[in-house]
Amino acid sequence: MNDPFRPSWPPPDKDSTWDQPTVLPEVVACWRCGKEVSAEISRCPYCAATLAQEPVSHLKETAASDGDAKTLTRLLVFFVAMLCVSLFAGMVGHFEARTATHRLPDSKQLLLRIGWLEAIDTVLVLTAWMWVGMRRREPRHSWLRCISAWMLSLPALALTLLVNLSYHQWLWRWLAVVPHEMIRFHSEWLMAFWVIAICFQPAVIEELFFRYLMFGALRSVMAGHTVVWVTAAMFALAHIGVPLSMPVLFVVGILLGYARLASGNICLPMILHFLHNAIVTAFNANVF
Amino acid sequence: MSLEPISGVPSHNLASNLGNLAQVARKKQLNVARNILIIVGILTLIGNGLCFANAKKETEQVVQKEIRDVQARGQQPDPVSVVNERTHILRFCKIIYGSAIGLGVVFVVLGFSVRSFPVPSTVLGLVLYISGVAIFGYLSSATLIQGIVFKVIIVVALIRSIQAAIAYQKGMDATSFEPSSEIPA
Repeated sequence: MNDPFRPSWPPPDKDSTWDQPTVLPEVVACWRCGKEVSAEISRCPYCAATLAQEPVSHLKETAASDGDAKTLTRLLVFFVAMLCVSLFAGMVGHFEARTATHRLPDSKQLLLRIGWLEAIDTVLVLTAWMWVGMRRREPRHSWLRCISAWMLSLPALALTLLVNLSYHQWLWRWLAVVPHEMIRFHSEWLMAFWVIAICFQPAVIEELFFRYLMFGALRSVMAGHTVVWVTAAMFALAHIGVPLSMPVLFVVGILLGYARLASGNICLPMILHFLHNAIVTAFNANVF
Repeated sequence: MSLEPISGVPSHNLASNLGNLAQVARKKQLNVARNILIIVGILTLIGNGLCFANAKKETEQVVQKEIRDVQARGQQPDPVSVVNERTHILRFCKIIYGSAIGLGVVFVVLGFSVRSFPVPSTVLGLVLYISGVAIFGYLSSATLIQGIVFKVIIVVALIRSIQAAIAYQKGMDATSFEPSSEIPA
């Protein structure tokens, strides 16, 4: 017998789902009072706090930040290792200069020292790459942005070279120093070794460390422009063998950093670095 | 059913409490980094400022020593060369000491900007400090060993500050995306 004051039983609709198991709504914990509420509502019925899509998990944020900090710390250890290698090479050079009878270093001795230094740096950077692992993926840039980056990079490189060469000319004049001719290409093999040691290796290995590994690690904790300036400072400071050239190396680092940021890949900074070193080397060797 | 008054609702969210405590601890570590950078910057400024003021005297001492060495070999130094060498050494000293003064200023600026830009300030501070030690060690090996204990303590403190800064920044970013806690009237 149907009660007029209660809903009819059984339900009159034959298609009703009363016999199927009821799906309970998903519950979440309110971020303020901690009480369980339905995920479908937008405001907590107990404390009236507005509910987010997902509750904030400080533990998750801590885990993510720990990973970023570890990667950054590891890369800084490799940066310090490269500084120590350069420092050791410099101390050996100073010792040789004090004990040698002539003031100018032999070209072959200099090349040998540079070769050893760069071999050790190569091993360090490749070890860092294997230990740190792949960098996080970045969103792809539009083709217009990539093309613009490539087209603007050559004039920017020309301007940077002008600044570099002008600065060094002014510096030598101000210090009243006549730069000695360090580069003497006695043979083709020597020239080829010089090109590899001065132009090719720094373009690949230094860009791999500063604009690939370090850039990726810092990108997860800093804005893009800040990363460019910080990596440029690190790039300049890494050249402790030529401390007076650090200001202009900072400018070069900014150019390479923005090339990396604008193009989205490591190829453009590598090519720019190679061209820069090749032109400066040719200028110093009085090729032009 | 009685509801607790909204204004006096204590936060029972354990994760939120832990997060706030962690942020307080990270802020303390950032304060340590700030103090270290400012103190190192001021000491660098003062020390190299005095050396800059004393550069002429130091240059004269070096030039006189060179002249004595040349005379000890039975030769007479060329006056033009002596003048050129004096100019060269004085300008070189001024560049080195001037750059160190600039570095001190940068340290002080980074120290004051730790709160606003925690990660860039701490990373740059550590990089500049280690590089400064390396560069001065390259120029003069004796400076590497001087105060080695303090240098190690400063480096370790700055490394911990970087980790704290990253976590602090992540915590701030997470808090900025939390829903509004405003209670409707």
